[in-house]
Amino acid sequence: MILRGRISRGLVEEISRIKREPEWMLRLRLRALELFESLPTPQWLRGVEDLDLDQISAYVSSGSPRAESWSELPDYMRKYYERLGIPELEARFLSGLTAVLDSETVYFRMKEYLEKLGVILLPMEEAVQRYPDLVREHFSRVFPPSDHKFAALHTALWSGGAFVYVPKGVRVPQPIEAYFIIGGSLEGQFEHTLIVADEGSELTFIEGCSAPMLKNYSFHDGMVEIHALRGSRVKFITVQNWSRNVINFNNKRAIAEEDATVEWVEGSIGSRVTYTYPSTILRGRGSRTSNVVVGIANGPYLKDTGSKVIHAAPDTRSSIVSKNISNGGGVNVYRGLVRMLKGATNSVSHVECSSLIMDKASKAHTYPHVQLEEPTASASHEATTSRLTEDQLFYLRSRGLKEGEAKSLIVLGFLQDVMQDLPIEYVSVLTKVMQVEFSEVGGLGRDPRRGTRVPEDLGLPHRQALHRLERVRALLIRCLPVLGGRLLLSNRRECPDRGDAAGLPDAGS
Amino acid sequence: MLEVDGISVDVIRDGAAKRVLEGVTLSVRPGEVHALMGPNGSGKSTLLYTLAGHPSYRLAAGRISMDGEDVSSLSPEERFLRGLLLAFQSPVEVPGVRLSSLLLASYNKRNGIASGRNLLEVRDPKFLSAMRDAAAALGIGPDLLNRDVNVGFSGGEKKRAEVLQAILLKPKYLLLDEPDSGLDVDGVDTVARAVRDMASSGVGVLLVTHYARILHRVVPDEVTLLIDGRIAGRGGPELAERVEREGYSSLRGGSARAGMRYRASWGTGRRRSSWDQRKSALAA
Amino acid sequence: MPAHESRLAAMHYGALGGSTSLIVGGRAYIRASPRAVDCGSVVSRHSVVILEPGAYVDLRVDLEPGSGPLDLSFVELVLGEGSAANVLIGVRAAGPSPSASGLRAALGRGSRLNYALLGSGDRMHRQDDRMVLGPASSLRSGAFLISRRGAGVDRFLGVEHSGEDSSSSASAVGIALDGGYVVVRGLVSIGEGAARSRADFTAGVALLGEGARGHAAPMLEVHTGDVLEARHHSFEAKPGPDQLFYLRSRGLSEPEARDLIITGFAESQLGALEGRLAQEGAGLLRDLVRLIGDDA
Repeated sequence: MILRGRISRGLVEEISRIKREPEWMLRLRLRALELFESLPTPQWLRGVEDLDLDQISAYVSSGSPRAESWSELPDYMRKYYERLGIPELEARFLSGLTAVLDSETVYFRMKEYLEKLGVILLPMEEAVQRYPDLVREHFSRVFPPSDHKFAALHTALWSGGAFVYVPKGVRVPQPIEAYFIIGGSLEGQFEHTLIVADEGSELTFIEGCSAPMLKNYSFHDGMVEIHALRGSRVKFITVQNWSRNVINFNNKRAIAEEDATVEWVEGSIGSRVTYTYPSTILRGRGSRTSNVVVGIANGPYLKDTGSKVIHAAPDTRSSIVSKNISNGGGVNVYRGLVRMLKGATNSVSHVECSSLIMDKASKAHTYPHVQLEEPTASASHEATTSRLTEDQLFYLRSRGLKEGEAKSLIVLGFLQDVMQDLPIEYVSVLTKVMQVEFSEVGGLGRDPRRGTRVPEDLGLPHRQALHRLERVRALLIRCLPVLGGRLLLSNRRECPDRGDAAGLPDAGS
Repeated sequence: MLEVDGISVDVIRDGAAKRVLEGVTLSVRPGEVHALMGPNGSGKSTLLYTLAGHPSYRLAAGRISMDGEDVSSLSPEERFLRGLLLAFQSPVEVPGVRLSSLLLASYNKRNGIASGRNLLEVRDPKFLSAMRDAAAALGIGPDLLNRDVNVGFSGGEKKRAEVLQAILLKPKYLLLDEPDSGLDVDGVDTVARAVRDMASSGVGVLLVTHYARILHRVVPDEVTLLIDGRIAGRGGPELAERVEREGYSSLRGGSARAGMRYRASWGTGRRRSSWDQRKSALAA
Repeated sequence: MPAHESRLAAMHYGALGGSTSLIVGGRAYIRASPRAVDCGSVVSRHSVVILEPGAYVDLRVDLEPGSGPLDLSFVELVLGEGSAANVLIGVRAAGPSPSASGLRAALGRGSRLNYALLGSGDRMHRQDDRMVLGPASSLRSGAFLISRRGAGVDRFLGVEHSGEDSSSSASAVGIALDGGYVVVRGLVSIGEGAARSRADFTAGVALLGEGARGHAAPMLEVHTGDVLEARHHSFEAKPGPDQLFYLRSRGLSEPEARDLIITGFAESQLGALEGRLAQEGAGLLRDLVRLIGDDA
């Protein structure tokens, strides 16, 4: 990989000045820049031949320009939205074309609710200014910039992201979907999210959206740091379906203290290349982590995903589930590391890795590593790679399904046990997205031979979600701030079958 | 005689001790079938595990002795060598060890003819035929003997493998943990027959069961009732019959809790005499 | 085994001190104990065995690398169409210097290779086995390795499926005793032309001593969707507390229980071999398992 151009010290200073950051943050950025320059370039990055740092510099300093008109969107994205059944206005929003409309009401309500609980949820920059001590205690402590080159690049240039602090003993019952509160702040190229869960607290945080999103930058280097203090429980869910020009590099790490639990759930659908390895360090006795990563490479794209768990204390437990689907020449790679350090007595780890290859052209590779230094610990790993067989296809076709429909049915079946970790609205949307992705012959990005009609009756368990396009639309809108004054609020967890007003768009707005 | 004398037992989990048995006393004579009944969670399996010396259970009071010797602090293998054998309800899988290898190793240890390095040497020429005969009698084929212990065994196969060990290893005292659970009618018959044979050849049998079903085929000499970790009743076969008729909750001493209720699969109105009849029929 | 395959290969050919080649037709039993030829800093030996179509060979190689600072032994095996080979390699790496050895096999159409590796190392030993599978060929491979006394035993098995309908079933168990470090790695690769192939790889590691360390990495690369089944898994090759209690309640002491289980795993690694070599392997294995008893 070749790095062209450079990031100047001046640029970093300018970023810090514009954000009016305290001295310690500027020093951190500059130190990270030095590290970026001195750390070796990783040679294992595939799909990234070169990286233009000058371009990144230019992008970073100009803010985050978005596409300004509907016609600027790539063809396939427009068609995608048509297929999902979303009219232009909403689709515009989803695709990031329009700035936040009328989100005051929603933002306000959610903020009030969280404030009552004592939860702090702010854009990262604001948190640096309003809670400097709290932020300083944890920022870059979970994932130091010295870890590798792109972590250093990130720390030098970070901008945007969310800061969440949950006080002792507070349980946040609804998942925090910061996107529609913080909006644009989470769209950045180098966004930094920091979550601190104080002792005994609980929260679920969701970022992203299943519907495709256009990104105007081509290299994303984001970071998520989670510090789960004693007895706390943090669940972090990411659903990503970015446009095909993006190389998505993620740095995600958590530290779990005594009796804490960290759960990572990640669904990676879009982007041209994604690298993501949510990792957890089990530092406290009895801490646990589970990691569910789903990588979908539908088309000539690369998903390089995996997980890293370090058991550094007694009685710790980890469970990793990786589900990969490759289709249309896609390549899925799983890289895993489970390390049992000496002293991690009676700790247990289990990794289960399944790959589904849908056609001859696609590939799946798994590279699991188990390193043991503690005789009383036990780690096991199982991996299976299977393919879609002629027999399966034939059977489904003999039941009236077309090839694309059969494929999407199988994909959904493959993902069943993973989907149960997502809130129900996400399941419905994800189901719909999977269908569009897989039932189009040849996948997206190419002209489908059939019309724009979404297959109606697939006999799926989520059939109801499919048929009710209005509900799906409403659920898609979940990913966004408000549109035209409609309410989108936290009582989502109730049965979506309720046909009442909660969350449904007003007719004729 | 196997004597359990006023034992109180704690289970150790995650470093904390929890009392699971309180003041339990019972005894098993050679050749006697002693049934231990109780609802789920009453501590029946716990008692057997304690007798077998499982490291997670600790005697907080009382003692256990076999033939006059105090075995309360002996290791599991030492108790086995003195003639105690526990047949598990749901025995664990032991990949890497063939069933035939385990039988050979235990047989050698039981008869004191090999140990350590030589554990898998056939020192007693009678072993192979004894193993084959016992296996055949229980309907266990040679392929099962060659498989790793309990790995992929069905419930019935696991139970029969346990009984096979009991027959081959000739214990003095046999602890049976729910030997009929998960078995069909034929399975229960096979197990019952084996237990009756062992009892008549002088083995003392402590048979733990939740249902009275197997007790129709293996008539107990004594029945003890264990509820919530304590002895709740003692008697003969008529006690088992009462449990079958009325369930456990009525025997809890009037507590309002809806415990496990077992209803006999045939009608009520069975008389005590049916038990005597059955016993004499079986003895014939 | 091309010289450019790795630095190790280049070094090996560069220092080649002795080599033998054999062409086998019909049936044969070959036993080789490559002798050391002292040629300075690196000692290396290379043997080539070629099987004519339809031939059958039992090949036993005993390696006791010990002399010279770096000791290398490689065996190249070419299986002609429809031929079959049973290969037993026993390695006892003792002495002051590091060593490496490996089997390189190319399986022609319809050929079969049954391979068992038994090894122990008191110091650094690297076992680098690579196989290429042609159409309709099959590989069964087992390995049992013990590393002790501050030594590192690193075993890598590369299986490349290049022909259609090829199948492989490989497993390896590594035991690390006091201060030993054992690495069990495998890379099974199913190439684009290997339609309808099947692969299975299992890596087991057990730590049985103070300061013992282990690393298992069963890796899999599937380059074509047209594969019947590819699976791999890694596990602990030692008894858990439930198994220990079960065996103890059957009269075995803890060391006896542990030995029984380890022996069981070791024996299953020999399951690949047929005929005469299976028995010879069992004998070698008994000696090897004794080492565990000695140390523990």
